[in-house]
Amino acid sequence: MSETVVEARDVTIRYTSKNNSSVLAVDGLNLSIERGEFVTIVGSSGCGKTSFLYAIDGLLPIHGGEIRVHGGLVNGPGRDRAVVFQEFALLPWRSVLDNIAFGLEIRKVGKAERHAKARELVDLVGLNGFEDRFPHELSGGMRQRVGIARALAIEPDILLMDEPFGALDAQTRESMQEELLQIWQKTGKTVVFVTHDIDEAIYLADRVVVMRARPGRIREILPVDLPRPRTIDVKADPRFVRMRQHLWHLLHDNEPTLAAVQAS
Amino acid sequence: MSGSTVITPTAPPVPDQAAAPAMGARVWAQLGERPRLVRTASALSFIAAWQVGSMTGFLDERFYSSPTAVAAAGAELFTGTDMLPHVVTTGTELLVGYGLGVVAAVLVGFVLGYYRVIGTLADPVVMALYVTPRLAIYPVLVIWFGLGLGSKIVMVFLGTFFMVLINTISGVKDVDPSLIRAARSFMAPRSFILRKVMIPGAIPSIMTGLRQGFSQAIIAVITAEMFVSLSGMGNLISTYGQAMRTDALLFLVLLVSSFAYLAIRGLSAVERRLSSWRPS
Amino acid sequence: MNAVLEHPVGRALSSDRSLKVLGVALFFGAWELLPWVLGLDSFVLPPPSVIVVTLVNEIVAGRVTEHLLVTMAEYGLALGLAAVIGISLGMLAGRVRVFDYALEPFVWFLYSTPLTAIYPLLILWVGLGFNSVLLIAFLLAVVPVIVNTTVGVKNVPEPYLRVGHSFMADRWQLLRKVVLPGSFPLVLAGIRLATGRALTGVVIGEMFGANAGLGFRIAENAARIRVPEVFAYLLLIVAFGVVVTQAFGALEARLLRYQVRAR
Ligand SMILES: Nc1ncnc2c1ncn2[C@@H]1O[C@H](COP(=O)(O)OP(=O)(O)O)[C@@H](O)[C@H]1O
Ligand SMILES: [Mg+2]
Repeated sequence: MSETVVEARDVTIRYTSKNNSSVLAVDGLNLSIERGEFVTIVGSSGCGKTSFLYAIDGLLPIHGGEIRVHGGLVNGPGRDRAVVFQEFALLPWRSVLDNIAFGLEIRKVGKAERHAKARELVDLVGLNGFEDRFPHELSGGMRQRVGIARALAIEPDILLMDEPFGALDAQTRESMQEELLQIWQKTGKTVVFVTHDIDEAIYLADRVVVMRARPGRIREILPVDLPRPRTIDVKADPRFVRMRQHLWHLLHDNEPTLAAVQAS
Repeated sequence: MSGSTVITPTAPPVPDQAAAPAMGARVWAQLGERPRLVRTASALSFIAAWQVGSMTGFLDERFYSSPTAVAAAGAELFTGTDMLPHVVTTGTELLVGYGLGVVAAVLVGFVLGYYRVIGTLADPVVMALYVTPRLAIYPVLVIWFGLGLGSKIVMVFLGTFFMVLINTISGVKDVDPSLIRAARSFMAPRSFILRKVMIPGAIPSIMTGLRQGFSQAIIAVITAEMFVSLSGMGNLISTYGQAMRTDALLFLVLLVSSFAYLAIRGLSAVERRLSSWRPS
Repeated sequence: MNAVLEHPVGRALSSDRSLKVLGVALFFGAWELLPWVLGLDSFVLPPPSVIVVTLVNEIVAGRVTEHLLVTMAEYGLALGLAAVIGISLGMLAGRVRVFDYALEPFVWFLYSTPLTAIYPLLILWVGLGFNSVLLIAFLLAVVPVIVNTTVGVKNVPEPYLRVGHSFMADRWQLLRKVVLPGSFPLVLAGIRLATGRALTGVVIGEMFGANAGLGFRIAENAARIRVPEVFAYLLLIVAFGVVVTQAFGALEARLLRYQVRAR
């Protein structure tokens, strides 16, 4: 029944500078992701999360191993994937509607059709009345709604999200998380979600992938067996609290095993 | 983005293990790392094409001259003594006009930048004179100040003045007001604020003005001399122009632009050093 | 939000505006008095009143319109060509490094040469009048457009390009939909510089080697030592410069309305 949509095997990503020194951003990373799954990736800043996400999208070449999406080798961005970027990355000269329609425009979808589609997404992310605004006229939360809508507009199977809520205040962030879960449940997309916020990682995920830095590797994959649909109350669930504590220790480098934490 | 180490591959996705690129692509990529080589090659091929063009008769030598003819004219001009008095004339006009222009513009600029009311009063007139071609007033200057040095000095003065003025005003206005407030709150006297806050704060912008003003000054002096004069490099250029001595004319143009280029490089080097503390 | 802001901002602006009007009035007033104070004849230093009367006479006598039209045509054409060609070359140089380096010596030459010095040559090449005026104005104007476009294209923020790549824009789409609009503020700044340089080119060209245009009228009247007439045409040129600058400023503000208002 379950079907693997993203398969990363021994992935290595390296940055080389002009003077030929190089940084190993990701080293020997293995991960497979099932259709419809919500996977979050946590890790301290600089541990290669963004690099890995971009590699799945095909924005970055990899220097070892392979990444397959729907069985095919990734060698560039594809129609089945879309990225929601950190810091929004909206095009400031485009209105909200035209930002959302950007991907469709690139695919040469006619103006009427792409605007109709963009309006549907405006509805979905709750931006009605702001269609003609420019990005700088929006709040952070609204900007990232545009970013999400822009990604959803091209109807990707896989949504790649790079700390999408990192720039938002705590309150906005929580309501965005809830909305994202609703959208996910409605559309059934596969989501890979990068964050460095432990609560966010657990709250959203089916599985939390914990990365460590220098070189970027997977330290642990933590299944989250909390019932869905989740509300904010789940954060008070003892299982949630235990997982958070475990992750906190993992990320702060003295790592008791999960069993040890559960026993305590 | 600039500075420290530049690390490359974020840009377009290239399948890394793709077949080795073709020979042409490799050479092209290497050229992208060799700015000096490409610049030199580009300039040299232009000169070569020009030479070949005139040797084959494709370019009429009377109209387009040729690199060798220009070089020969240069040798002739340098060995003779004809050019020297013209250099002296132009140099004098340039230095006097530029010097006076800078001093006047910095003083006036501080007043207009510091006192908001006076600055606002003067703003439309300054802007209007800044955006219009000031060289157009030169014929009047000739009527007023004669054919000699006077009219050129005033022209150079005007060319320099407005460039330096605009930059000084904006430099003074852009001095971080919180610095001034801080100095005031320590009850620093006005002269202290001027010397320690306003002047250092405005200097990078003034330097930009000095550089832009200098290129204006050169344009002013050459153009004025070409229009009407008794002596000077512009005078010489226009004499050779009328005599259809394209070789000598081009040599003089190259001489003037090399001088301008070096002077402006020098001024921008100073500018960069003086503003290195600024966040770019 | 507008309503709240409007009051104080509006007041500051209007007091600024009346100060500016006062400044212009003071300037012309002082100038009006100056010949009288210095005891100079209005043939030597004409006061504004005389200049305006002279200008009106010139217009009524039908000696202005034709020349104004010539100047406008030369100016518009030179600026238009400079924009189109400058943006094209700049985009190419911004995207293709080898081309950028190859272009540099020529750009440096055009930037540091007082281009009026090659005017005698231009006349030799394309003839007196319209063509040579157009050419020198174009050469003066195109340089800042090339330079600014190159810099603008090179500095399009990486995230915008990444968005383009991620949504699978091809080369041409990336150029049209990301790189060009992304470098637009700098391109416009380059064109703003070009508006001034093109006017300088046109007027100087007309003064040196033409038989029509406002610059030509200046040279012609100066040769006959008719100072009030010279000033009348200078006034027109100043007005031309101010109108062009204001119009371009308004256009720029409209085109860049998506930006956060600077300060
Ligand atoms: N463009 C780049 N040039 C050089 N090094 C980079 C670049 N991008 C990322 N890196 C390095 O790669 C490592 C991983 O970066 P990144 O994937 O952005 O991590 P994260 O998203 O987890 O913060 C870091 O050590 C970072 O310094
Ligand atoms: Mg990151």
